[in-house]
Amino acid sequence: MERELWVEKYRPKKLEEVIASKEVLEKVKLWAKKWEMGKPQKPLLLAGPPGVGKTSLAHAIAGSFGWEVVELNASDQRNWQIIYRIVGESAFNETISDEGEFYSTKEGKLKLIILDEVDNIHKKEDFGGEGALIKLIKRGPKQPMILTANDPYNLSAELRNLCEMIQFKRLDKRRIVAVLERICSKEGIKADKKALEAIASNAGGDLRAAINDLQAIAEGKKEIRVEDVVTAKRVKELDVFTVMMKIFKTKIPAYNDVMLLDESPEDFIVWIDENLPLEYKGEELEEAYDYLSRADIFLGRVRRRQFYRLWRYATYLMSCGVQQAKKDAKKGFTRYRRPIIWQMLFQTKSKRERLKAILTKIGKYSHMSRRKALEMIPFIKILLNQSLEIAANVAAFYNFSLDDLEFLLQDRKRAEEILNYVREKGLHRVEDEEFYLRQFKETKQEEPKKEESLVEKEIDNKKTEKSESDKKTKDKRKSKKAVSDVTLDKFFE
Amino acid sequence: MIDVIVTGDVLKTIAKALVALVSEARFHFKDEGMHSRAVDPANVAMVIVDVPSESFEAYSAEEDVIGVDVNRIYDISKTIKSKELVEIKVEESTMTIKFGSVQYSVQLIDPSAIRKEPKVPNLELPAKIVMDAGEFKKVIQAADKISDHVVFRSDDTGFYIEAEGDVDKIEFHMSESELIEFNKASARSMFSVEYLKEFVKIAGSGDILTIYLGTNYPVRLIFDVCDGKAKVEYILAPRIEE
Repeated sequence: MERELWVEKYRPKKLEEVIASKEVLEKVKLWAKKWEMGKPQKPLLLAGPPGVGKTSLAHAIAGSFGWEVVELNASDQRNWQIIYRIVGESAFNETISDEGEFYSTKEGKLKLIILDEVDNIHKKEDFGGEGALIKLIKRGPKQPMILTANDPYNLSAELRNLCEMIQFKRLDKRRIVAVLERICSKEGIKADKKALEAIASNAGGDLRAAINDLQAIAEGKKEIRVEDVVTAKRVKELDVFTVMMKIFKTKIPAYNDVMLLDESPEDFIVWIDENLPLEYKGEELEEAYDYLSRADIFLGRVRRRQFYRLWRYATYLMSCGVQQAKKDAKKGFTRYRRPIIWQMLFQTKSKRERLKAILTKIGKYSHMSRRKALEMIPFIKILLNQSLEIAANVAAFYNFSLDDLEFLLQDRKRAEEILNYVREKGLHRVEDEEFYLRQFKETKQEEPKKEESLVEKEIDNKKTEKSESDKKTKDKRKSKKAVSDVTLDKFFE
Repeated sequence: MIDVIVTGDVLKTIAKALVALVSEARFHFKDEGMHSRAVDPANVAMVIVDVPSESFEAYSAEEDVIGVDVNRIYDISKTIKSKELVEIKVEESTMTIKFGSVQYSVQLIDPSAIRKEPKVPNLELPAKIVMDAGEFKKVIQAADKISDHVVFRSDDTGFYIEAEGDVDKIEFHMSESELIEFNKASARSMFSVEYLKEFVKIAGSGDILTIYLGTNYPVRLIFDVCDGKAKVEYILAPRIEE
């Protein structure tokens, strides 16, 4: 059984039901009336954060004035052909309504063209969409048009200037509470005002989010108390468990439940991965992991190509696919656990970063990718365990730091030994530009000191702070005066 | 369960007629025959397709509504020859099209997922013009070369189609004696060529076209195609003129 979303159920049908400031409503009403009187107006651009009622307002205008609606939203493709074909033809022709009636603009029966989230028209598959839209608007559409955008400054200035922009602000908490109260009374739910206030402030001015939260909390309840809302955060996590239970224990398609979750497929797959072996055994387990790996392939494609439409396939595979892998519905209670991978990733973060730094150095000096450099690691480890001279040469060649060496050798003492040897012998990379630069700077700065002039003295005084710290490093470097260059040739002698 | 046999040209025409406006459509199978209608996504035009059961070589169908991905059927229909016999079978949620030794199966779409079907509008259109569809096709294709809109006009001197480009002009005129049927009523409306050029693709010379025209009103274009075996009607809303 599909449950109806309250956001859809209570979407305003008439202008009077829309939550918006008086000025906005008046402006929009005037705009629509002028259209009805046969005076074409600039398209409206409704701009503002999500969930403040931009699209609802557009639909409510059509509802109030009895106009037909042609809508192109973000999930539709909107390249230039489609914009020309649908928006273009809509805007310059009279209307045949969905009901099959003829609407004539001469009788004030118009067709409202709604372009949702136009700031999203920049994707690759929407090639040329914005340009086509600009051309059409310049030709002066004969039917009213409304564009919505979260961030109008993502649009070209040209398009923005062709439209009449109306800025929406985040909704006031009290107005959100009022709407929630109305919905509760219509749904026959007794709600504590404090509870609704908590939901409202949690939503941060996003009415859609507030209504969704309310519906989630009110699910199967006749009464909402403050405690229900306080635990809402935990409800979220509980939800992951319920959905997992549905996936593992039943064969009722759980696709929609996963879509309603607050977790992205990329996170949810980890939950399933973690708990799958607790439920499935043997062949079932193998088959389920097969589905899961396919889902993972889709997730990878999403990330590489930024093509989020593929998420649904990943979600299908990880929910319904895994569900179908079992022979019978599982019984009993299983205690699911949180995925440990995130904790692991957190703990190993510094290690992974150290490795990355090492690989970057190897890659840079041996001219290879980081991935290829990973194959070098064992050999470098062996070299570092040879005589001190060889190890020091390798360390100098790759410019390894103490931490790098310690990471590779797992032995701080040996790392220090190697590094000391490097310092003593003044080993360095032969093509190390920085090294020569430092040398160059030292000589350059030393020279003027010998023939100090008064002016320079003053400058010197100003620089004292700096030069003092410089001096420290300089002293260190001076001991390195006797330098010998490290090249790979040494290894082949 | 639906199991019908029809000649290739009928299937090709139905697919072509619908694909001009929509990508998905509902097909109704009734005792009288097959019927489908849909409004295009821009809410400018409507298509109504009727194939009476007598036009099928064999027709056995329970009353049913199916949702069809018209694009797929259109693509596959291109490979079918006009004279070839085609068997169309619908079982559960699969449609099977057999022609020659080829069997093509396609999943149906849940009809409830397809856009609501329109009613057939009740239009009062004074002028009635009956003419050869092939002639009409020629004018529209010529008009497409110079303009994106055409004017249909009729008075007691005949039926006119006019298109105007920046530097050129096309005028088509047929008097009563040249037309198959004409009631001499006055009417005038302007239409998008973009739609008309898609509509005429189903027409061949010898097919009969009936036009009902009003003033600043939609036009009804009724094509009798495939030797009268199928009827395709388009209703097109007029351009908005200043």
